[in-house]
Amino acid sequence: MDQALSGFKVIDFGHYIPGPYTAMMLAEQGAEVIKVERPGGDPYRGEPGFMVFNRSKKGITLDLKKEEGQRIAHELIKQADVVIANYRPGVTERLGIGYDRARELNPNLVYCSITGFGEEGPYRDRPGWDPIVASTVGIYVEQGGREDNPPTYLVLPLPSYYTAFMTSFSITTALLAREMTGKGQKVDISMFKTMITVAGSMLVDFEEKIRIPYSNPQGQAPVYKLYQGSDGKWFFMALGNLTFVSKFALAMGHDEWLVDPRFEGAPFLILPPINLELIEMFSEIFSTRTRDEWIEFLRAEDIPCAPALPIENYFDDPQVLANEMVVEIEEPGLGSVREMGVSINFSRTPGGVKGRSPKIGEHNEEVLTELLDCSAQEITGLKKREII
Amino acid sequence: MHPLDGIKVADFTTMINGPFAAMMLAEMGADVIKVEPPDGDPWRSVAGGFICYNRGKRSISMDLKKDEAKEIAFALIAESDVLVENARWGVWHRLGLDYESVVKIKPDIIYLSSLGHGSKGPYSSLPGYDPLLQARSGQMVGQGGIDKPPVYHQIAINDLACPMLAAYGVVLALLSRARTGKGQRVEISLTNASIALQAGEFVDYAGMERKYLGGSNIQGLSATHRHYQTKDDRYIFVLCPYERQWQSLCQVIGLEELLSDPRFENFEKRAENDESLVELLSEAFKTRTADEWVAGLEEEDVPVALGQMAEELPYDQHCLENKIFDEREYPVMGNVRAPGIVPLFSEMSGIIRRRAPLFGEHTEEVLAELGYTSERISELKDNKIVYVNEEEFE
Repeated sequence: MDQALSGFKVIDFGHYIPGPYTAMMLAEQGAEVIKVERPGGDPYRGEPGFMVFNRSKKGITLDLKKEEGQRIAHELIKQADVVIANYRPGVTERLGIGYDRARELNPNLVYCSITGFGEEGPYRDRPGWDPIVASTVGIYVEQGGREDNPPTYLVLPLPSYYTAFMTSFSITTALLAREMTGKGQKVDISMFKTMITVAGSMLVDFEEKIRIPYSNPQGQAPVYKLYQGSDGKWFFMALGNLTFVSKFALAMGHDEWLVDPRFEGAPFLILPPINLELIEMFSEIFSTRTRDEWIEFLRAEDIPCAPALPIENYFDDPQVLANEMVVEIEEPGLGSVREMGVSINFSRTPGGVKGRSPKIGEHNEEVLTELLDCSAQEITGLKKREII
Repeated sequence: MHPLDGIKVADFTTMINGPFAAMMLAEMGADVIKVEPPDGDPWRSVAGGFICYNRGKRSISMDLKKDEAKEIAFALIAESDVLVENARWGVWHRLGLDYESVVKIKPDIIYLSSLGHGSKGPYSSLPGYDPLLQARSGQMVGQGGIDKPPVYHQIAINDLACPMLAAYGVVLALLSRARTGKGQRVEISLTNASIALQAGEFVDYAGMERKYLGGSNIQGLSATHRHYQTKDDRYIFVLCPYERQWQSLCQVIGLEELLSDPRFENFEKRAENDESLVELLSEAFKTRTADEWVAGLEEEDVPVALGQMAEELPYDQHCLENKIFDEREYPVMGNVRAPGIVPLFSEMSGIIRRRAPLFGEHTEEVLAELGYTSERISELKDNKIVYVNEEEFE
């Protein structure tokens, strides 16, 4: 056994991002993952992300609306350690793969249900589309700045991504508990609740809470903000503690800032209107040299800063490459695709990418033959009846 | 019963990335001791922020630059299953508490380094702050749009992704240890997290057309995937992924004529005439309140949500019914509502054992558990090896 999840079998009934991404993360730590798709395929096929979220898996198709399809699913569930589904509440039951049925088939199972809003409460039937979750949690409103500003839509599908991380953690925690107690169980993850935790620091509520209006899309804390060099290029300066604030003042030759009352509350609590005054002062100073000159100067003084770059540059970033976060995978029709590596490093049980994402139904025959002992004749029949 | 009952964690982390990972373990039942420097975790200064990442832990403070404190640290580590640190790469080697040193006294330790930039590469010893990764990784340019000002994500997105991945790494290592008896070193970084948080965007091949969807203060991506302002000056988000939802939308807002309008007859046409459609829908949405629209659209299965204010969430009906927020008393702050535990287990439960600790609140208690006598503890305090909480609260 050389990977943490070697020997575990996962049946992935996921689609779109959260379920598939979770199953991929389990696969790349050693689990054998079988992705079960509906006959038309995962609706996310065709998006570049599909290749990433479904690599390292075997793929089969199964029509769960038909009884025979459900019977095959049941055979798979019997052999599984983990089942993952991300549907609205009630759907898995209709498809014959709900928790109660699965537990009857396999009492030791860790069964994970990912929903948009959980299985109880007034929003339980809301679909788990990313922007619906993000909007309900209020992160667009907060990003927009409130007061008179409209919300700002965030382009990254954050709820889906965070949910995948939270789910991988939770499933593994349940597997560990099973190792200790012998008991399987159901794990419920809601994208909404996950995002409440992600937005936690802004949602925490008590009487004296200070809410600082978010006045600037480039950041509102003068010492923790995006600035432009004389060439118009942007960089972020992050004086995240008072030591860095002092280092910065000295490096800039402004020792008087160390006792300047306007810096009270640094780094994060310099309030309006003083923050605006300081932002203007720093902006003027930074407009005297190019971005790269500032970065070279600030880095030499050990002051945290970084250029704002497009994602293309990140594939060649020396730090990213040194940490082996770019892998190349051959995809039929596309050639060599550069995508992310495995984000967690283990000294004894390193994870790894096991191969490209499956074509639709690519492993139908292999899985049915090897795991379910189906004969060639049976498989032909299943195809003919449009079960697979 | 809690999934991580009996697991002990020595948490040497500060700020968000790191503390949050240890808190996730605490909420699954682990006994977590947070070891703070003499001046405390700098994140304590953010009232309300600190408690989100340190609940359920006990706090002990010591000056690890002093040898006597290091002895205490080793005693603590010898009793622990997991060690979590998030200092700049190199600091723990200087302190003599790096993996190679620790493994000598605790061979099966799981040693998590949650780093800024990873232990390899030219930037490995640079300070790691979330927005530096937002900047370098493309997240700010992606949100701001190409050739436009980059946009700072107000949520520390990488600082929150990294500890989730870190906590996943720790339980993987614990599972592996349960099966083999062997510990190991686990590493995660904001750099790696910034890619995991763009997994679907971080894709590149010859001839790939990269879509830049961002822009300053964008309201959404299209007329049927955006915010609208309502009569009561609230904002709702409306989304029509399927054709039938577009049809329902037109019916609910009383613009059935759009369904036969050739400018909007299919997805492609609507994309072509997006601006006119936004204008028409914006007008229509101003005629009723947000609550009326949400109710009306939900009834027809059109995905919709009210953009809530942060202070409204703890009192949201869905949050109340699901007990999503945890409510407890804090010194000075009084009654505090903060996000509760995320995973729900059918046979077990998570647990918040106590409120976030005051600085050094449990120094004496933890030292006593490690076998230190009260005389010795007084000496350690007097010699500024360890620190206890000295503030008095009502």
